[in-house]
Amino acid sequence: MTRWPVEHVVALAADPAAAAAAKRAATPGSWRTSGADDEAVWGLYGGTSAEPYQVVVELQEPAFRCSCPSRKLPCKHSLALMLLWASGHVATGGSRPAFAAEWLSRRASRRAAVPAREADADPPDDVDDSVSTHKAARAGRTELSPLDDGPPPSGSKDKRAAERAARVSAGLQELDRWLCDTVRGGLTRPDLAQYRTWDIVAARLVDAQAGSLANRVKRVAGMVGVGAGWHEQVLSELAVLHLISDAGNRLDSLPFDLADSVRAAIGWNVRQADVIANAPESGRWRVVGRSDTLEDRIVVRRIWLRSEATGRWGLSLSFAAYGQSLDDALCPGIVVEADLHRYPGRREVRVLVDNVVRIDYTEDQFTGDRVIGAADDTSGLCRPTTIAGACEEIGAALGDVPWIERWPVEIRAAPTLDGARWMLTDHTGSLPLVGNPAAFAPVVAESGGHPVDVMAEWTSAGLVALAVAVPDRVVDVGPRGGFEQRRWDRR
Amino acid sequence: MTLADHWNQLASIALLGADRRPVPAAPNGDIEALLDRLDRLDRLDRPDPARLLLVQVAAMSAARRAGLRPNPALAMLHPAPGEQRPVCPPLLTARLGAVLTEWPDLLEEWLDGVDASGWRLTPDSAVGLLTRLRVNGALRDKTIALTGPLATWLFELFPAQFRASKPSKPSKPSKPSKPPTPPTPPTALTAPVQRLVDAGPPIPADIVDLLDIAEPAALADELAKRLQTGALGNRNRASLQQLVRQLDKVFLGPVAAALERAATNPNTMGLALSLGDLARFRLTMIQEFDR
Repeated sequence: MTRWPVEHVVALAADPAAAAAAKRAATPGSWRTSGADDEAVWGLYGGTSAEPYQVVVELQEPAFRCSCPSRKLPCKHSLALMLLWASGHVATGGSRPAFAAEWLSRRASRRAAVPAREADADPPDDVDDSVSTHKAARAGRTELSPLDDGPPPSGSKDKRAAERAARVSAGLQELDRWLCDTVRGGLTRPDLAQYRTWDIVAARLVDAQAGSLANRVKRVAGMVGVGAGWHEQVLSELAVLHLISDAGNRLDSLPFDLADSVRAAIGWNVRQADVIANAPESGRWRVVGRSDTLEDRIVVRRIWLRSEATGRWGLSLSFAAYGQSLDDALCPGIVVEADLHRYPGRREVRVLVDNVVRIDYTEDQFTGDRVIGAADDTSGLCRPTTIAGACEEIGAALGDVPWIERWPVEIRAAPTLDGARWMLTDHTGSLPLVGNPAAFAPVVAESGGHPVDVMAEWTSAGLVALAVAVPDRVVDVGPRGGFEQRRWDRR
Repeated sequence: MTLADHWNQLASIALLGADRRPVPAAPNGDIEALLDRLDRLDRLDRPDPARLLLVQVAAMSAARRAGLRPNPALAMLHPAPGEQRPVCPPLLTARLGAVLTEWPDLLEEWLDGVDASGWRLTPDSAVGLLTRLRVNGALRDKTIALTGPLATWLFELFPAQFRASKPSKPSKPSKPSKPPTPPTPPTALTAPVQRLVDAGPPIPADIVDLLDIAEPAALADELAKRLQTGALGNRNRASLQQLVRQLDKVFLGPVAAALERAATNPNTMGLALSLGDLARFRLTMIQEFDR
């Protein structure tokens, strides 16, 4: 294959920092071995690790594999190897080492087995895989769900669906039995204070292919013994689990949209191809907030979008297992023209974002990777409401779907202290802020003690602030999955 | 019995265990109606106390959540004192993020640029920097000065987050009336090179002879040539980075271009590209301040 120009390689970097780091690593002396043929480039990077990193780049797609722990894709080692190759410092014609041959043949066999899969589904469970993520993101598909199923083989579809339904049903019944036993014995049972107890229940739900319920059970485990009224919160969550499991066993009797919501709460997967097949909601969407949370070693990124025309909400989810990076294309403050395909369900906010085009930026407005303000809205967020108005919106959503765990709101209110607790307040009332206290400081600083437009997620514990809008920009203050100190490294 | 009383009763029973206390029937009113609507009571012919408890709690939890009410309004904080300086423009604030990510050694120059332009830091920049610079006295003091009265206001509200790890020495006040006497430059140096010499610590001995070259293009070519031939290499990395950090802006463009062209020696290619990146980055930053 013809060598790429250096600019082409640099353009693959996830961000300027990755490109700069790659340039520093692009020294032949740092590479213990390297080679290339028409299809791939490979090398062993010495670095500071005891074991050299194994780096392989498949040129056609391109796809990258590196054994380093970086979350970026491609990592600096992959880019550095490509830089060396592009500048003619990698010898061609040698035989592939085992690690490269194995990975490349695995990719080749998978391509042969499912030629159509890449067109409409996520990358498979091979977490080291490729720039398909970036391709999807660049095509406006920020979704990367390790949980979604690909299309089942024809012929066995009905049988597999029936088997799965039976497994889920059995799992729900077992959960319900456990819930009854738990409240029968009392919430002060010592074993409930141990994560292991909940992990066992969650593991059985995973076996029953009820992954969302399993995650919910794990989250309840973290509430036991925390705060004065913990037992009321745990009891409420157990009751909600009971509600979902009960509803899950009588899906046929529920309205279609509610049944879809129940399926989503249980963890039934919806194929992305089916979601994309739905009619899109097209128009201008404001990216109003973002949060990264670490759930069972997977970083879950939630990006909230709001329609400028209708005020409807959209939630784009993406996931990154260890070693993968998340797409940064949709950052708070930008406005995009996009097609949003909504997942089925009552009050469903989850969407797939397609055909994304950034709009409304000029050189003055465009700063790095964010767009400041929009043509017809100088606040950066639209339709902020009062505290009471937010409660009404949240209540209406919870009235329709009681197991909703988070709901987006835009509030104009001032941060203030109630004792040692941070709250948002206005003349209609107040609501508590929750989350990492370090994240409150930018909200308070931007407000200067005055009301300010805050985009937040409601949770049963309180509001999690995700963004603050000031006249010329939107400040991203959302959680970073335990990497809060990197907030400044990601801007 | 009010719904709140009923809820408290259910919560107490759940804490002790449904086997130890009887579960009361749902009170007349909305919850009972909700349970009837859900067709739940009819299905519980011989209600298991635990199941009866869960059903009632589920209905009440749903009702409580749907009826979310705000807490009473609270008094607002005393507002932060006003500040006359305009806030740093978004473009430069975004550049700060890149500085911290890619070339943190340029932070001081960035702060000086903001100061020279008469701006103050955006509040979120101030929070980010004050959190980050808890041990660096000089940079912390500059950040506090560029934040203005907001800094003191934030320190009072978030004492733990912004407390300095060790007392920082206050910056020495400048003495505009009597500027320090600059060192005598070599006679061959041009004005830009003099500024380089005055701007920071002395250029290390291993590359100081480069300062004899006054023409930007000539200096860039010489630097590139030495990297290409291996006369300069990774052993000189720190010195070369310091040089690029202190070069006057007229040198930066030619240096970046020459280094990128010169990145052909396998042993110094990474260094050359990296230095070129630093030069270009710094030039862009200076141009943004000059706008």
